[in-house]
Amino acid sequence: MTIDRNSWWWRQGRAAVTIIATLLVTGIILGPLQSRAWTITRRNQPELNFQNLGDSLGQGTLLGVLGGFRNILADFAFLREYTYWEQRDQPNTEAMLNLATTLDPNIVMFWTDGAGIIAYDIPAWYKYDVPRPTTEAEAKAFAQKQTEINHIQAQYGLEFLDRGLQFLPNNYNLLQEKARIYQNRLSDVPGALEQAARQYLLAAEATKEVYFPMRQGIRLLWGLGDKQHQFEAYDYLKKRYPTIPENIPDAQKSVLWDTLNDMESALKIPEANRAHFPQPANYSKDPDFSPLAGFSPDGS
Amino acid sequence: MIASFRQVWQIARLTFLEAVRQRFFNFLILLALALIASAGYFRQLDFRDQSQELRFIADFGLGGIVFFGSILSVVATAQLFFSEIENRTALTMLAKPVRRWSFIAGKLLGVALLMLVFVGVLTTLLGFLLWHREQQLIAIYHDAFIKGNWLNEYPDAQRVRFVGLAVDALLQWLKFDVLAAITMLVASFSNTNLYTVVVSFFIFLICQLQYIAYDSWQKISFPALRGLVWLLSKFFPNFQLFAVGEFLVFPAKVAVPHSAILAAVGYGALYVVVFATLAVSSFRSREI
Repeated sequence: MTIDRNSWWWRQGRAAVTIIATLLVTGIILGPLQSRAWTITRRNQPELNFQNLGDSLGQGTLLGVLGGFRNILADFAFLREYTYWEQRDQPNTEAMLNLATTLDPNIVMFWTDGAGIIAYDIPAWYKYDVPRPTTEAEAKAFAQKQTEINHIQAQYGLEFLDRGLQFLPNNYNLLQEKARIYQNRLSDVPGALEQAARQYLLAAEATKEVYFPMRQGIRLLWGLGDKQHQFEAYDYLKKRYPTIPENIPDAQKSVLWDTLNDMESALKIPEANRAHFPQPANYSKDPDFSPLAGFSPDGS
Repeated sequence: MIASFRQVWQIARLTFLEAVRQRFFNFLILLALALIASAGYFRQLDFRDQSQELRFIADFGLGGIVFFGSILSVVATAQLFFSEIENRTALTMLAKPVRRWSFIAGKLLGVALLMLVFVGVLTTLLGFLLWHREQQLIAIYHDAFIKGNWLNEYPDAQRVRFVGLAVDALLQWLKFDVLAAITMLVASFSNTNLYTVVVSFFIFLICQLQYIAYDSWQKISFPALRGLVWLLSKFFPNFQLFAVGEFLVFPAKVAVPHSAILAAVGYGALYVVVFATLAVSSFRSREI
C-alpha cells in the first residue's frame, strides 16, 4: 500500500505530529525555566486542589479560581457556609469552610469561626439526628456517643487551626482558639488542660498587647495542681510582670500583683527569693475576688 | 525583509484599529472598568478588617483584568482572524505579495497591541483606585503613619507597590499574548469561529490547571498514568506562573525575586514564538 503524500490524511497527520512534537520539545526545553519560576510561585500559592474545591466547582468558583477574584469568592463561600450551617448540613458546612480558607487563607476570622463551628456547633447537631432517649440506658449511650463526637470534632477543629497556623504562623487569635478548644471541649481528656495552658501562653508570647491569654495560661498551668507546673506558672508571671503596663485597664496589673503574691505564699517561697515588685500605683483590691480561687493546690 | 516587517506592521495596525472599533471590545472594557471601579462597594461584603482593604481591592481588580482579558484575547483573536476569512479579504490580501507568516504575525501583533491597551487602561484605573484609597487610609491613620508606627499598629496593613502593579500588568499581558497565539494556532486549522473559541477556552483551562499535572506526576506510582501526566505537564504551558500579582503589589510578606519574574517573562515570550510559528506552519497548508 502506498501513501499518497498529497492526501488530506497525510497532511493533517503530519501537521498534528508537528504540533505535538514541537510542544513536547518546547515543554522539555523550557522545563528548567518553568521549575525556576514555579518553585518560588508555588511556595506562595494557597494549596488549590479539587478535593477542597468540592461541590462548588459548578457554581462559578472554578472560573474565579482560574481567573482571580479569589478573595471575594472566599467571602461568598464563607457566606454560603452559613446557609449550610443553618440547615445543620455537616458535610457541606465543612466543605465550604475548607473552600473559603483554601481560596483565601489570610483571613483570621475564617479560621477562628470555622474552628468554632467544627468543634462546638457540629457536635451539638447530633441530638437532632437521633431519637430522644427515653430510658436511662439510652440516655447513657447517648451521652457516651455525644462525648465521643465532641472529642472527634474538637480534634478536627484543632487540625483546622493547625492548617491555619501554617498560613498565619504565630497568630494569637488562632493559638487562643486552640487553647479554648482544649479547655472547653477536651478538658476530660488527660493532658488537654496542660495543652490549653501551653497554647494560651504561646498566644501570650505572640502578642504583647493582649493580656487575657497570659492570665488564662498562668491560671490553667497553676490549676494543674502539681508543684512543677505551679512553679512554672510562677516563674512565667515573675518574668512577664515587669513588662505589664499600669495604665492599661485590660492588663489588670493589680490582679497580677495579687496573683504573684498569692503564688509566693502558696508555694512558700522564702522571703529573700520573692519578687518584691512594688505595688502598682493605681492598686485596688476586690476583697471578694481571689486570683487563684479554684486553682490553688488544695482546691480552696 | 524590511518590506515584510512593514507589511506585518500594516496588518497589525489595521487589525488593532478594527478591534478597537468592535462593539465587543468596547463593551468588555466598559464592563471591566465598571467592575474594577466598584471594588470599593464589593469591599462591604468582605470579612477582613480595614488593614487588609487594599489587598481586597487589588485582588478584585487583578481578578477583573485576568478574567476579562482572557475572554478578550480568545474572542478577539478568533473574530479578527475569521472576519478576514469570511469577508474574503484574506484572499485579496494573500493574492498580493503578502506572505502567510506576515499575515499571522500581523494579526498577532494587532491583538497584542489591543491587549496592551486593555491591560494598560485597566491597570491605570486599578492603580488610581489603590492610590486614592491608600491616601484616605493614611489620612485616617495619620498619627500612626507619621510616627512610622503603621506596621506595628496595623500589622496586616501593607502599602501598595505600584512598580509591582506595573510588572504584574506586563506579566498578564504576556499571558494574554500566549493565549492569543494559542487561539491563532487553533484558528489556523479550524473552519469556524465558534469551534476556535470553544477549543481555545478549553486549552486555557488546561493551561491554568497544568500545575496540578506538573506537581503530581512524581507522586503517581502507576507507570502508564505517570507517563501520561508527565506528557500533559510538558505539552501545555503553565499559566499559574503568571499569577503572582498579589505578591508583586504587596511584597512585604513574600517578595518575588527578579529571577522568577525574568524566568516567567522568558517562558511566556518563548511560548508566544513557538505557538505563532506553529500557527504559521499550519496556516501555510490551509486552503482558503
